[in-house]
Amino acid sequence: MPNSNAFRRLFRFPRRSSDRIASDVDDELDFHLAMRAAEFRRQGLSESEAQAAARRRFGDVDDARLYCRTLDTSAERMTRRRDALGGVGQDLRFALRQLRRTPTFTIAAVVTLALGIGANVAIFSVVYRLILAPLPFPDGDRLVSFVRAMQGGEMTVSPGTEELRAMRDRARSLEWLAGFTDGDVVVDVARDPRIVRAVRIDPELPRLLSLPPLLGRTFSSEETEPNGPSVAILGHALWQSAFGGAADVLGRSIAVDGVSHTIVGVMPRDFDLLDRGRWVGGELWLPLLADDGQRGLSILGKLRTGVPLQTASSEASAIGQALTAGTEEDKFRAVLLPAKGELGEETRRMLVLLFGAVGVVLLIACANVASLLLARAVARAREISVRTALGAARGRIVRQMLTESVLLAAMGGTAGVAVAYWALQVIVAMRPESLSVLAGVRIEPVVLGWTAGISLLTGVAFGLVPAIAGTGSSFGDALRGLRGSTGTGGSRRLRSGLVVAEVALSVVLLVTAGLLVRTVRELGDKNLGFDPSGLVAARIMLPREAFPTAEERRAAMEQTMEAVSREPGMRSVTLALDVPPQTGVMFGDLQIDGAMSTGGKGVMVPFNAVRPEYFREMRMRITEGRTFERLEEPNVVLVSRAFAEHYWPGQSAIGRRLRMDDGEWSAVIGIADDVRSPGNTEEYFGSRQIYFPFEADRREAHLILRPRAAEAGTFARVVSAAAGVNPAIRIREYRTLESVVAEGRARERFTMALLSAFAITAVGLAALGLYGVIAYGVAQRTRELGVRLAMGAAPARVRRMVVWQGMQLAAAGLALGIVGAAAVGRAIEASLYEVGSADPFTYGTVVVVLTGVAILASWAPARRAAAIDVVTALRRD
Amino acid sequence: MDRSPTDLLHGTLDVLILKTVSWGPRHGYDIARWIEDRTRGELIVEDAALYKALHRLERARWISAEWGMSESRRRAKFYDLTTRGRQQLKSEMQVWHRYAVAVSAVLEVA
Repeated sequence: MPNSNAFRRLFRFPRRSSDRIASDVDDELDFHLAMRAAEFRRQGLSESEAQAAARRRFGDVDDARLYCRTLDTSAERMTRRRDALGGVGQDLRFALRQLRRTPTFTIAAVVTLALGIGANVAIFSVVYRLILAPLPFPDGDRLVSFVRAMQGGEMTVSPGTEELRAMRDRARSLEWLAGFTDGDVVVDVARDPRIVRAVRIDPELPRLLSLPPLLGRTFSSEETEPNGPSVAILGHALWQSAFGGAADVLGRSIAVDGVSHTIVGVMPRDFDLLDRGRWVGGELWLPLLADDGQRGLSILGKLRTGVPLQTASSEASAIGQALTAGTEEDKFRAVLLPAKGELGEETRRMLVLLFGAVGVVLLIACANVASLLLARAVARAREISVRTALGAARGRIVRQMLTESVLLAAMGGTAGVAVAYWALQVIVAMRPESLSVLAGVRIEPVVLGWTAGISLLTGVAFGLVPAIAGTGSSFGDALRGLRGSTGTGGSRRLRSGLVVAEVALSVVLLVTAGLLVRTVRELGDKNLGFDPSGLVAARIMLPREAFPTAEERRAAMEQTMEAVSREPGMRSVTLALDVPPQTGVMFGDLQIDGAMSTGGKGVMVPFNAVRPEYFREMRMRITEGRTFERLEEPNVVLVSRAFAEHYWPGQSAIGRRLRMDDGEWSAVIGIADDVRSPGNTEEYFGSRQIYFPFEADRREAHLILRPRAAEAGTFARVVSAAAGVNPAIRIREYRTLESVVAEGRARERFTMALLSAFAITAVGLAALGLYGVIAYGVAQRTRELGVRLAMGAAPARVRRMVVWQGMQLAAAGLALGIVGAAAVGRAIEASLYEVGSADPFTYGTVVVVLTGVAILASWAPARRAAAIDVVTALRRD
Repeated sequence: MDRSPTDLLHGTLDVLILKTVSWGPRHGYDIARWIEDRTRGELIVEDAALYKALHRLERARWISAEWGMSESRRRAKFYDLTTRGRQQLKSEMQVWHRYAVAVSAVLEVA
């Protein structure tokens, strides 16, 4: 027998008590004396003489007795200590050997665990990055964002220069406060115009955040003057891509929006700013100009040591109120929020869903492995009984089996980290824009600790049940059980229960994922209310300095549209204030002709300003009435179907009048299809929309283009056409409408894709579990099935019987799972759109899919059962 | 019993015991008798010293013990050589031979 020494140690004498040691020594010495006495008797001595001679021959009996007892006691102590230490290594070696002997079992268990643990590590890494990870700045937890927020903080507006200055002067709870603002610019490097994200920053920010430029310097105060020198700092990525990371880049120039800027520095790779959890990574950095009246600033500040956020925020509110008392903006309170951001309701919902899903996957994985171990424990019952009979302590055997499962868990955990690493790369690749911070996600040491934790917990959890169930049966029981045709009833019931639970859990996951898939489909292109295909949007901006009057702006806007439409390859062009689905929102008192007024409370109304041909270009239907007859038709509007139904329920909206605040009254002339905004299901972003006529004297608008073919050069041609009208015109944010739509839906898609992956994993694992139980059952019943076949049962009948057994388990799991799914469905109703939580289609599909999977899982064992060779089956054992 | 037995040199008893059990398990009395027989009574081992040595060797894990039945159908403790003990025996035998050769060399010159 290989390594018989280790094996023998498993059958070691039971531990000896000190009484036992003493009596053993006595017995040994008594035996010797008796043998000696017999020897002397044979030489002719009498009984008493012989005994006395034996004692004399021995020497000091009592001294030897004491010596031996002392020595044995200390030896026993030593052995125990050595066993405790050496036992672990020995257990491990033994466990490894056992696992190697059953590679199918080991691979099944390790893969199962790797999937369960890997999914958990990946999602925990995501959660860590989104919630727990500290900011990469010194004292990052003291960084705050300063904003104006409506009650509840749902809606925020960004403050302007005056507020920044007032806060800086008066707020004593803040160490510093600095503003920045980000937007797109066109940089021209070697006649290749490209749009990059530019951030205008307070020159002090790099110093305040302890992140100085990698090369060169930060801005000087002279450079923040509106007419100061034009300078720029390159972002790390732009430095690499446009200048090849050249070290002599300082002093060279770069054209930003057609104006030459001198490069004075390069930012380090990780220089990103934060605004309420939104990471702002600039590709180009410009000085924040020191002119008054700038709006929409992001403001970052740092709390003084020991000042609670609440205190500082109250101070900010008081200062803010003094500034805006009596104005419109007073509706928004000045507040400080953690710069790291608070998770939005939707992100939290997403994380809860994903965490739940991976938890379920891990549970199923554990149930699977427990079931595998249990089957093995039954198969090894004879070995265990023999060991017990030979004197191995029950605790020793339980420890041995626990070692095996912990070793399995460790292997699974290691493989799980590999799975997680791969999964994270997929997650990063498909992250939605709003979760851009995920780009930095990686498996952190904390997460590794978490893996070790769950691996160990898993090992102990699924190791304990089989270990105890396995040794619970007494010697006789197990031997009888082995001779019988079935395994022990208790373990079979336990395994069946585990499989039912697995199927139930995977049903819950499958239904949840199914509902989300349906939601995303409902939100799909065909239901957007417009057709984004083939359309491209670009923002057009007319800087105040170059176009001071309305006439100049109107001329520039209309001429640009003309010039762009004359470009070859351009089918049609129109102008609109915003690009759906995310349009601007008015806030104020909406008054509806004769019907109602929102009073002083105010409502959010999404709106857009469009030209007459807008609806045709967007492929939107006008279901009632008409579009504008001519450009800038006065005092008329179109509204969306949802708007009409909400404010004039059951009546025609045509001809009705409305106005915002003290504006002019406008008559409704048409009703357009609803535009759904996929990312948001909140009330105010809903589809109750007003369309005003587009007035061409605006400073900003969007060109909506339909090029004949999507060519790379289209953007450059639009830029040059606009420059032909006036070089001061800026063109930005050149994007296809399809990408705009996809971005809005990215979060749902992201959640759905991950959830679906987890659901599929869960079903796969449950199928594996079902297969395992059925296959094992067939193996256990070989003799019985053989008898049935010998008695003339048709193979088809045996096959049906086995499949039927699998179906019963699956049906029980389905029933339980549907009950669970109904509860979960109600809990996630808020994330669903146009799909009821009891969606019959989803449930129907899940039932069909699972039934199919169950049939597949039991089919292979069923075929094996029907093909049992009768003679072999009966000869076995 | 009238001759005084040759006193054993210190440490010699251990190697004798190891050698004795190297052919298979024996109980204490058997070991004592075997040494006496082999040396034709030249070496008489004191029983007390023998048992002390047996337990000492067992604690050093050079020999292992197991209870079994003696020829006379009595429960007796049998000692057997372990792998460690076999190595120990080998090295002690080498030491003993070198010692014996060295001592004889001196004595022969004298």
